[in-house]
Amino acid sequence: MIMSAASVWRSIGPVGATILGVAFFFAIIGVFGLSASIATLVLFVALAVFIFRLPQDQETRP
Amino acid sequence: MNLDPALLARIQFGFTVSFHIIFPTISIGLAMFLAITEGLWLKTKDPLYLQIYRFWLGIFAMAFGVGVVTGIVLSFEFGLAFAKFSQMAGPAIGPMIALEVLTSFFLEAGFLGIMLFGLHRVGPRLHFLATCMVALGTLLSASWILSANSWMQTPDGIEVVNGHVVVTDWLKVVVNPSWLYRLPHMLAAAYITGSFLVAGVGAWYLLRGEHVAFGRRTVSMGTAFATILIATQVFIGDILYQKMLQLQPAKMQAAEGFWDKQSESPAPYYWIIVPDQEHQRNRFALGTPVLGSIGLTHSLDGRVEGLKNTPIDRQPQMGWVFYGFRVMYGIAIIMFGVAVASLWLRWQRRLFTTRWFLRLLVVMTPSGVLATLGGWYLAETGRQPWVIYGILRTIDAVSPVPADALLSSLIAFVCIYGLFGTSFVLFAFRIIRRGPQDALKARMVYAPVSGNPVPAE
Repeated sequence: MIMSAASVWRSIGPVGATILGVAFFFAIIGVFGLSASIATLVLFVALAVFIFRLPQDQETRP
Repeated sequence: MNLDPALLARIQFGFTVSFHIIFPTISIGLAMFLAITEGLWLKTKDPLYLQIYRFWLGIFAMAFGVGVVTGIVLSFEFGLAFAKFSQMAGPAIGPMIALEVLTSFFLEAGFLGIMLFGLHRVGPRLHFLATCMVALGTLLSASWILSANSWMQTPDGIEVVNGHVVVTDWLKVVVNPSWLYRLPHMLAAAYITGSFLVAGVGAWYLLRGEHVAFGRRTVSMGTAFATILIATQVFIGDILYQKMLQLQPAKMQAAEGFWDKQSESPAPYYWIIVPDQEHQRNRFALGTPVLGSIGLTHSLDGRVEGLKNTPIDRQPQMGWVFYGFRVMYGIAIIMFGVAVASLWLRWQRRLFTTRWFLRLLVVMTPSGVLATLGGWYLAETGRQPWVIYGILRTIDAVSPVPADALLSSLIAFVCIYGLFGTSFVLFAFRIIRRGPQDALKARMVYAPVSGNPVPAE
């Protein structure tokens, strides 16, 4: 079965987000040094604050 | 049957302090959440914030009450079960406990009544001030208790003269080497606990299709706070870890599950072990290769020090320390994953509409409490066999109390605390099942001193 572009995106998206999350995690725990971990934390928080401002759908779906 | 009084005293203190720490963690977290929520209400005049405030105020009040009552018991236990500790360390610990009472308890006592019962009786700004003062009081309380406990972990600013602690530098006693690292770690833990609690209850309402506006706002607020806090906590935790490696190497050696003086290179990261303290080895160990070197030494081939670096009579019991750390760290990793998932779903604009994620938030509701308990087990069992690290052994701190007296009081504590815990859970569920009050009614709360309710806008 050929996956639609939307379903491919839906599959890739969570995988990409997970990989990004793991990268953030390792960077924040100081694997790349203190200054890198501070910079990563600031970047993570800035990204989070940007995303917090997005409006959300209102209907629950499975 | 011969029961060991020292063991019973430790079990009793362990049980009562484990029960106690649940409630301050919740009340510290919720107090800050309430202060932010009421501030948002005053700024935006959105009645939903006031509805959220009123709902969580009830649960905060219960947690606060149980926390105070069970906290008082602990100070009595110092004297009753660990009299030699009180006798020796009283000059350092006593003033810090007294300062907690003078600063935080007095502050909370002055403003808690206004916070809980003043919505109809004082103006909104005074009420907000009361909420902020109570939140500040919980923060100060945590500061003093962490200062006292951190001094027991890393004592400084004292001399021991004729078996008694004599303070030579109060600043070093209060701002001892681990306090500056442990305090933000504990505060972040409490705020994360509050965030997941709030988000979990909001998600439960969304799944049931009840109080939907309330649910959306609390899920949004809870996951937003949790996302920023857990990332910060991971950062703080790593710095604390590195500091404790210097200050209490035996604790951290036990926390990683390695016995040999130097682990193999690269070192694995153990998830499950069955330690054999007597033979100084693991009967079974399951881990991820290389991850230990990366996570613990920040290199691909670093070696990790094991517990054999510490003389046997100064070693903590590895099992307690290891699993305390794994519970805390494991839950923190899951929390971080939930935070990243919440960011992805927000990006997709599906935060309130993805049922699997809402179910996950409900499951995560008590996660902060469990992680905090794990962290305290790591801290306290990792300090063993010392009650004051390097100065007084726990076995030497116990009072000469008969075992049957300790056993009977332990049974009484289990019964009474069981009643407390069950009551708290039942009443909290009742409040949650009943749901938040109608937002429109919530607007009619603040009033001038005359006491007549008026709309807030």
